[in-house]
Amino acid sequence: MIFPSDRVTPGKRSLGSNGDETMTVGSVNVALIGADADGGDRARGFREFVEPEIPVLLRVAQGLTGSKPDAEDLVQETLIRAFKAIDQFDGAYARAWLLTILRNTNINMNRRQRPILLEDGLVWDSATPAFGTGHEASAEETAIDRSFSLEIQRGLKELDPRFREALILIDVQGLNYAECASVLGVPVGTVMSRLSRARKRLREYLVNTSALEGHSK
Amino acid sequence: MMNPLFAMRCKLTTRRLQRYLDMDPDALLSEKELAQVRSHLVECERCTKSVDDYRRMNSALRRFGDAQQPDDLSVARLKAVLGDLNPRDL
Repeated sequence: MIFPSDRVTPGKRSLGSNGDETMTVGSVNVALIGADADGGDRARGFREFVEPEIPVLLRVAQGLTGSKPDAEDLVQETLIRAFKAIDQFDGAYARAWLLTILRNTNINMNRRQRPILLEDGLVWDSATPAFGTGHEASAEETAIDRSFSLEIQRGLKELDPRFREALILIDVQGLNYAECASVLGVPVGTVMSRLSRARKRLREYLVNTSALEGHSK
Repeated sequence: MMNPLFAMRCKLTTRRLQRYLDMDPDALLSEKELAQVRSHLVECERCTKSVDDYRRMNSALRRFGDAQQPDDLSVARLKAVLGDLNPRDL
């Protein structure tokens, strides 16, 4: 993996020792919903694969709604709808499935569609070392990091909203192409095209402002 | 002036550069494509610089993501919602 990533591994289905179908999501093996599990197993299995996705759902929801309370409401409604629709889940790409429900729920809640933005005023902690280095950042490095951070935020605002959304969902929020496509409701190929253009234009902005020249590796 | 053949190869590689950088499961390069990109990067200073810049950008953007972690209380409340889900309510 070239970029650091916490991207989800697609779920894999298999037959368990008792012959029931099971599903592996990350390191969790759960009785597949829709098998002969009773209601308790159904709820428990659902919790096991959904709970690790709550932080991601909240981050994406905040991007969609622009508000922490609204984001929490949206995720809560998404969880309830997902639970009701669990029989439609095919056992693969759990996060993408949840993000599709999140997107549709947001639309169904008649929320005003807004472009996905980065939070204003984000500047990383001065104690955080420069890229890939293990030493404590000097005052000069910290100043350069802050300057680079501000230039990136300015560059993001210059992008076409469609391109910016793809870039934020993938590079900031860590979604993969399919998950991003689920949130935006577009094909994966469209995501790749928008992402490529977004990165190219952001890089051009940073080159033009000399931000990349001054930034340490 | 850049050799036209070299420019064409550069363009070809640039179109694959994002896939090379992401290694996304939906757009993995084949072994042959991967070898072509790596081979090209060895000889093309311009594309190597692009890769370096994109990696710096990606690291910076990731750090924005790290700074946007959701509120612990929100996560706890939503876990409680999960705990309250009951199949009899379906």
